[in-house]
Amino acid sequence: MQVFKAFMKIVKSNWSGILLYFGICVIMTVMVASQYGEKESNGGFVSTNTSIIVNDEDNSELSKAVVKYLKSTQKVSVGKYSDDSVKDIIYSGYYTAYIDIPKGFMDKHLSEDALEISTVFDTSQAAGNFVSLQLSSFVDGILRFENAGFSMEEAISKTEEAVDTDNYIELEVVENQNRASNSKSYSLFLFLPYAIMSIILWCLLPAVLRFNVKDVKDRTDVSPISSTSRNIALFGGSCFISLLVFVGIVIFTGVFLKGDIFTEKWYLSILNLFIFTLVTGGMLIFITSFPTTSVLKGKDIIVNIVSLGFSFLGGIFVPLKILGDGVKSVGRFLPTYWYAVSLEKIESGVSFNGLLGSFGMEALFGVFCLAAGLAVSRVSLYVKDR
Amino acid sequence: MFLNVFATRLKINIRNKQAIGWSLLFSLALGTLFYAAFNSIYDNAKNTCVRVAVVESEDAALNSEMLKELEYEDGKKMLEVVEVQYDEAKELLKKDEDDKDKVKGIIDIRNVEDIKLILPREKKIESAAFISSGGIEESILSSIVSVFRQYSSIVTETIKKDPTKLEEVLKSFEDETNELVENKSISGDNKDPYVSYFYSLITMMAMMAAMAGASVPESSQANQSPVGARVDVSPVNKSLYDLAGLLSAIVVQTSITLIGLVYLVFVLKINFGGDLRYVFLTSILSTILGVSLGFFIYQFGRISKKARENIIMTIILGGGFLSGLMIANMKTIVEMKCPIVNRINPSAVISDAFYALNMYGVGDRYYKSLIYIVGLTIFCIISGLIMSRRRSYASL
Repeated sequence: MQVFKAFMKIVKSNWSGILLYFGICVIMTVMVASQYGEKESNGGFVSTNTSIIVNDEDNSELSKAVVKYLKSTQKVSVGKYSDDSVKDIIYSGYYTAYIDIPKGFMDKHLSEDALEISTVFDTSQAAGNFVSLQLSSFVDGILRFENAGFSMEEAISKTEEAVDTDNYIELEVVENQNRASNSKSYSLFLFLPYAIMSIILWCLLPAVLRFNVKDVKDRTDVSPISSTSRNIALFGGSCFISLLVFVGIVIFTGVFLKGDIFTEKWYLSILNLFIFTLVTGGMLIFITSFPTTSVLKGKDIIVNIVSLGFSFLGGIFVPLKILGDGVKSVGRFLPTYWYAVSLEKIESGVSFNGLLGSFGMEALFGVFCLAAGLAVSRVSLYVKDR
Repeated sequence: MFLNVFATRLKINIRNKQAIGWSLLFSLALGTLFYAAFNSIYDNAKNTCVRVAVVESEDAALNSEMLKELEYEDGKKMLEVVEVQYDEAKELLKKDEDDKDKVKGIIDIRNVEDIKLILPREKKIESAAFISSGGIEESILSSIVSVFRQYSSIVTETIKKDPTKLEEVLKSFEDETNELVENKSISGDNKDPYVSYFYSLITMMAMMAAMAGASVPESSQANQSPVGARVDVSPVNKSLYDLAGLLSAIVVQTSITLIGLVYLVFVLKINFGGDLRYVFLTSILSTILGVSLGFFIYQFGRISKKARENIIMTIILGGGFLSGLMIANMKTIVEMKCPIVNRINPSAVISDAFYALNMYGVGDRYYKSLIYIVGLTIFCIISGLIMSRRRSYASL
C-alpha cells in the first residue's frame, strides 16, 4: 500500500500535464462535435458542406436571398473581417471562403456599373472553387431570369427551385462506394488514442520510472516490502490510472454523443478504445524497460514523439484515405493504424466477427511491446549481473 | 572570469548528451513524421478534373461540348466528359473507385426540360447525423447541372408565360451578362496550410530550450542544487556567472535548433516560404527567447522545483497546442475567439513570425512579431538578472 500511495503522489504531482492533455482532449471533442448539426439524412443527396464567412453589407431582398441560399448549403458564419484577417482565416483552412456582398449590390445589379460580390478563397483548391461555383450559379441564375423578363421575386423563387438538388439528382446504389462523410461517433472516437496515449504516458511514465531509479530501487529492496508486492502495487496503480483515464474519456465523449450511445457501434468503438488502452500499457512497459535516467530526462520528448508520431502516421489526425501509400505502409506497423481501420469497419457496419482481424493486429502491437519490454529488462539484468 | 565560466558551462551543456540527443531526436523524428504525413495532402485537395458520363440524344438542344469547355479559376479543366449511352454510363458509375474508367456521375441531358444528374450512393443509409453525403467532385457536378437546369427552366417558363419572347430570351443567353461574383485568391509564397506544422515544430524546439535556460539559475542558487551552493559561496560575480551560463546555453540550443531547421529545409526540402535568411534569424531569436524564459522562471527559487517544471511545461505544451502543433488551424480559432492570447503566447508569436514571412514577406507584421520576441527576451534576461542579485545564503 505504501508503494501504491507513493505512486499516486507522483502521478498527482504531474497535474499540469494531465490538465493540459485533458484540456486538449476537451477542446478537440468540442471542435469535432460542433461540426455536426442535428440534421438527419433523408437518404437524398447532400452536397459538400464547408465553413464559409459571409459579410452582407447590402442587407437587401436580393442579398438576403443569397445568404439564405448559402446557409442552406454551407456552414455559414456572419462577420466582417479585414483583408489580412481574411487571408489568415482562408490560409489556415478553418474557413473555405469569405464572401463579401457590397452595399448597393441589389440597386445596381442590373445596371452597367453593377457591384460584384467578392469571394476570397484559395483558387487552387477544389472546395473553394465549389463554393464560388455554387454562389455564381445562384446569383447568375437570378440575373438570367430577370433578363428573361421575370420579376426579382419570381427570379429568386425559380432559381431556388432550379438549384434544389432534390429535383434533379437521382442516387444509384453502388457497391464499394467510398464514404464521403462520417458519423459523429466515428469522428469523436477517431482522435481519442492521442488523448489516451498522451495522458496515460504523461501520468505513468515518470511514476514508474521513479521507482526504477537505482537508489530508490535499492532502498525498496532492503525494506520489508517484497519485490512482488512492490511490482503488484506498481501494476495495480498503472491499471487503476489507465482505467480511470479510459472511463473518464468514455463518459466525456458520451456526453457529446447523446442518442448515439448504447448502440452496437458504440459498444464496438468502446471495445476498440479499450484494446488501445491496453496497448498503451504495453508501450509503457516497453519504454520503462530502458535505462531509467536516460528515459526520465527525455520523458517529455518521448511522450510527444510517441503520441504525435503515432497519431500522424496511424491516421488519427489525418484520415487514412488522404494519407499517402508510403505513410500507410509505415502506419501498418502501428496500433493507431489498426485502431483507425477498426473504427472505419465499425462505421461501415461490420459486426464483431469481422473486426477480430484488426482488433488482433492492434493487440499484437501491445503483446510485442510487452514481450520486448520484458526481454530488454532481462538483458539489462543479465548485463548487470556480469 | 567570464570566459572561464562560459567555457565551463559550455562543456557542461555539450556533455549533456542525453538532453541534446532527445532534443535532436524530437526535431528530426517529428519533422520526418510530419513530412511523411502531410507531403501530399495539399496537392491531393487541389482542383481535379472530374470524370463524368454524359448521356445525350442526337436531336437535343444541349450537348456535351459546353461541359468540355468548363474551367476552374486557375485555368484547369473542370470535367473529363465521356459521351456514352445510358446503360453503359451506369456500368461506368458502378466500377470500383480504383478503376480508371470509373465516372463520378452521369449527366442525362436527353430531356432538356428535365436534366438529371445520377450519382453513386453507398449501399447502407445511416440514420445518424451527417456532415455531408456527397464528395467535392459530386458537389461540383451538382452545381454545374443546376446552371443547365436554370437555362432550361427559363426557356420552359418563357414558353408558358409569353412564347413570343422566346427568341429574345435565347439571344440573351448568348449576350455577355454582368459578372456579379468576383473571385480573389489569397496570395503567399507557400499556400500549403500544412507547412504551419513545421512552424510549430521549430517553435516547440525553440521553447524547449527553456529547460537549458533553467539550468543556469539552478546551478547558481544555493537553494536549488548542491552545485548552486558551491557557486554561491565562491567569489564569482553572480550576474557575470548567469550571463556566461546563458550565453553557453544559447550557443548549444541555437545549434540544436539550426540542425533541426537545416534538416527540414535542405534534407526534407520543406518550403517555409519567404526569405530563408529571415527564417533562420527568427529561429535563432526564438531559441534565445526560449532559453531566457527558462532562466527567468527558474529565478523563483522559493517555488518548488516541480511547480516550476509544471509552469514551463504549461508554457511549452499549452502554448504549442494553442499555436497549432496538434491542430493546424488552432491559432486561427484562438485569433477569432480570443486574439489577446495570440499576442502574448510566445509560441503563437514565433509561429506567426514564420507565417508572416511566408504570406506577407518581411514587413510590418513580421517586425511586430520580432519586436515582441526580442522585447520578451530582454525582459526575461534583465528581470532574471535583477532577481538573482544578492540571492545568497543570507537572503534565501
